[in-house]
Amino acid sequence: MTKPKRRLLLSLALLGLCLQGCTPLDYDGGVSRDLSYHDDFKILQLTDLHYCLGTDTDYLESYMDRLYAETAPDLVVLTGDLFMTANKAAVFSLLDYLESKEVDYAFTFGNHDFQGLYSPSWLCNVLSDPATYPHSLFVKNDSSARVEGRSNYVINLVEGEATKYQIYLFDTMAAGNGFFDLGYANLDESQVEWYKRMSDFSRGPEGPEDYIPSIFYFHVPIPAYQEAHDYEGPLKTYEGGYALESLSGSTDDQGLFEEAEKRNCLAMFCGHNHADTYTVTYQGVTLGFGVKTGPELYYGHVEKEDSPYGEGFDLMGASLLTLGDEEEISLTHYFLSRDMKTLYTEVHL
Amino acid sequence: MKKRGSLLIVEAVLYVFAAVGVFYFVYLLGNVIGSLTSYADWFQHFPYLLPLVLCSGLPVYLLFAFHAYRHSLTPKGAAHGAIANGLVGVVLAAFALIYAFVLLYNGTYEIGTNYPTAFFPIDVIVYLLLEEFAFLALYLLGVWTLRRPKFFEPLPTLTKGLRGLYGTLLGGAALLALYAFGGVLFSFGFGFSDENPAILISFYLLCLILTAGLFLYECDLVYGFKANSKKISFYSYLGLSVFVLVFFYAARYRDPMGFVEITMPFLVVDYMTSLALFPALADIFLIASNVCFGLKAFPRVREGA
Repeated sequence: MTKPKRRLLLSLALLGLCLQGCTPLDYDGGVSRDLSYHDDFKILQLTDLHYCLGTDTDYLESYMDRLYAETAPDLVVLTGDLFMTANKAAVFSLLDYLESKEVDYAFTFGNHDFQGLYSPSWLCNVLSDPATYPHSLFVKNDSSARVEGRSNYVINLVEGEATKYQIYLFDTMAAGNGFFDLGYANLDESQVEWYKRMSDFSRGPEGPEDYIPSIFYFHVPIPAYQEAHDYEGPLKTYEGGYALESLSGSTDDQGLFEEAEKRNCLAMFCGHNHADTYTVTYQGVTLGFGVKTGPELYYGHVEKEDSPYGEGFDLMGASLLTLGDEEEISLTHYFLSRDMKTLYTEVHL
Repeated sequence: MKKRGSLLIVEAVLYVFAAVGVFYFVYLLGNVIGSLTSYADWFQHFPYLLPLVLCSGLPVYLLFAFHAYRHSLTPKGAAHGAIANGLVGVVLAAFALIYAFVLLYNGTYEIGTNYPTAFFPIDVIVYLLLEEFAFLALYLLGVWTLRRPKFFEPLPTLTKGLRGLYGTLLGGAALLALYAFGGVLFSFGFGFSDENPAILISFYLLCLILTAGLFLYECDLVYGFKANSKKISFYSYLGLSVFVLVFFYAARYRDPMGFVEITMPFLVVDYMTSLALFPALADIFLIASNVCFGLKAFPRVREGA
């Protein structure tokens, strides 16, 4: 073989390799799950449990038992910070509990989940092990998908052949990548591109004209929360809830909110701010905070004079989203007191 | 020389136990903060955690007490220090041990709860028993030294100014090095699999190079490196330090989020404060260690100055 020919072959082989790296992602890239839908489908959001060494697991399990019993969910979404300075035993303890409820659960990471005596890959492997945890819908993100984060995936709520809703879970990452000041991470462009691909594909060339209605769950609030908080005008409707701490969130969503508006996102819910539980509808999209589950680390308390129930109460419990056939959603917050003696509900939508 | 060498080996063994202790101690502090809803909660958790805190903290005390014995200037000073520290340690370890048994008896500690390890609370009790014997041994070493002062071989003394400088710089470096070394030991159980290997290796190297520096410093004191060997060890350590720092920052620059993911299980304080404290402190102490080695390797530069 002559030298130029060899060079040409080598170049083609290299080009082939490069192009292989650019192959567009398949529809789901292995990051979607289907779940059977029915009218009044209930999604229970638990968030910020902060399981750690000193956690009274018996108490927390009874606490969650009560929330499960009150809400009878079809799906449980855990929006991060389930663990903080935990160990493998704590992880197994929580997962065994969730599994025992025989309700499917989806999990996205918060900024504290990797702060434990285990590696991120270990946690992902455990969560995505169908033999041990068949009800876990967690999808381990394949590094070849080239999407930043480890817990970006979609749950399709399917009725017959049709996808009625899509539940998107986004990984808002563990921490920022500042040199000294780590701060909170911003969403990555690759995540927004991934969302666009997923929503485009699920609509499909012969699919419905409009985008499939979707709900987002993630941990750290995106900047739209701050914008909505600061905005005063006709584009915002306050739906209810409390703001007892200053909002701490990321500063750049790489255009996610804008894309979500265009692509029929009905609502997005986060965790992170334990003492904020308010819900607003801003520019047509509902933005809400989940109610912190359990007492670990800190939680908000509403004083008697600000309470509609005639006595003070803890901002602790869970939130329940109900999805209807005609793209209508309803949202109820459950405030279960620390001693589990009182339970108040607050309807937001 | 042989005795000094043997004592250095003993200190190296204690160093490993102390490293595990320091890392776990910081992890426990993180837990206390993590479960802190109110002061009432803290007091509720405190009895549960106290034996664990003592169990992880006492090996560090033992290491520093033994180090102080080795570095004492006179046999009498060494003996008195060892006796006092040995007694305090024996009392604290006994207290923690009895307390752990009480908590086990009243049901606060339950066998099979898997906290903090799968062997809990047997692991805590065995560790405390070992500490009890180790402090007893330190006490007996003090008594032995008092009776046979010739047993004690003082290490070469440094000038007063240098002693203070080295003590401060390397003492700080030692705490950080212990924490980092403990993290590396713990990390073998973390189950790393598909994390970025370049970041993992560079981070391990950064953790271990601090311990290597301390070991080199102690070897020089015990075995008395010749002038030429001092220079070689200085240049080797300097070269290794530069390599590790460049490797670490290059890997971090290439994959900043990978750095975050890998270091999260190690750097409890950093991610609670949202500040990359460990890399900054490691840089400072690495530079400090090199300055110390440089001053020892080139005494004439110091005299000229």
